[in-house]
Amino acid sequence: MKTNYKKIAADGVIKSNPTLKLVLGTCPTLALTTMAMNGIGMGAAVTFVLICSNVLVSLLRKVIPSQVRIPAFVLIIATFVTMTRLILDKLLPDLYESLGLYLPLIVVNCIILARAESFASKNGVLASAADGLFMGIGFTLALTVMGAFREILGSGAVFGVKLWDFQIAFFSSSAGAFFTYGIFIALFAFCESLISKKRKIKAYAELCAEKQKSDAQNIDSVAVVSESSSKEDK
Amino acid sequence: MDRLFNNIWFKCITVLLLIAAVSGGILAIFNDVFYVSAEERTQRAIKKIYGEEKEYSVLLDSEAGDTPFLDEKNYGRIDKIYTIDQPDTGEYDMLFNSTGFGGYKNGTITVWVQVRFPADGNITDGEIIKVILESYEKQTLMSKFGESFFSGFYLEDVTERYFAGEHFTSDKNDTSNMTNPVSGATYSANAGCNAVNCVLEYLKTAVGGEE
Repeated sequence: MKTNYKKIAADGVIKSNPTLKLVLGTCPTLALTTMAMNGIGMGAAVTFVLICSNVLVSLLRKVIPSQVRIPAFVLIIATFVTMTRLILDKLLPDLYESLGLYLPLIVVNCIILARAESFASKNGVLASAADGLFMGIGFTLALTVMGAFREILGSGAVFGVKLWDFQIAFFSSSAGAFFTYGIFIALFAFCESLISKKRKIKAYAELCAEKQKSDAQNIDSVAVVSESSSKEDK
Repeated sequence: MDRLFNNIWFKCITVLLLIAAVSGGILAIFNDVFYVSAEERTQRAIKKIYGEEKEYSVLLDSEAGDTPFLDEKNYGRIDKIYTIDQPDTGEYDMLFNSTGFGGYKNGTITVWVQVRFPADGNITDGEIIKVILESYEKQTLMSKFGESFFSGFYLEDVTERYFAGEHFTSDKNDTSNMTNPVSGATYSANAGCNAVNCVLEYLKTAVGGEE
């Protein structure tokens, strides 16, 4: 069966967005969205782990017995998370410090385990890598946008660049994180329903146009038939 | 033997052991390649303060087994002290890694405090040159802390005033002390002030200011 990469991309970024649609990985989402830069850092780390673990799980899917698949997945994920920690600590120490405790906690991030279990263990290597990449992009985008929103309102800055002195400290707090998350989930659901409504209307309009066309054709054919029968009568 | 190899639990254990062994090997290599030494970590902190790497001597390092300094007034804890000579002027700096207690929800704030002493080595002429935020615990309003908060500690006569009985406080109504409040984050500001007070307390007691 041919892999539909377009569908994988659309699923990862929009239709099954891990943060805003599936509500997975809530812990880092709430804790690290105080700054947009944290969102990018965390998103990049999760994307790397997602791609690598998906590829390895997909490669080993016929070797790992189903009875021990979850411990095996956790072992694989933990290996890549530890690698990410070591690399970040050496090369990007500031980002490593700002991510703090939430970096090792990627091991128990539901997104990674869920993708390993529901996708990578049933699909080929390339498709699994693509799934990891687009799920990671979806997660990164959600975290970055939420981080920018909270940073602008809570600190009057974006990506560390000061915009104004006006600050609403509530958005920097934990309660502000829940509030922001709620707003973004609601906005995402609203946009999604709006788009699906538009699509339904478009599909209905197309259906109506098609029906009208076929009705017109039917009327024409009836007219032709009646005309020819009247000629025969004469 | 065939029965053993075909046993599902034998397969399960073997696969898990193999994955663990390969992971362990890969991580051992990564650990060697990306190892960050204590020296490198210290230079990172020094670079944050000076903008470049400097040679230093260790006076106290709790990570190396030294006992951290805890002041009697319970302001905070000092985990690391380094000294850095200024060869051009003959002055010398002391760098303190100080953790202030009494923050929001009993949390802490850890800062690096750079104190510069004159060439004659008179402790009472020590001056705070820089205070840099290292980390914090449980503080939710750290975004309120701007450069103005940290520069509030840069007083020329800071050691003299401290030795005379004053201390840094976040209470803006307390005019008898050195006030450095942050509006909207009183508890966090208290922990920040305590971190600096702890350094001054160290100078007063451990180095001999009190004598």
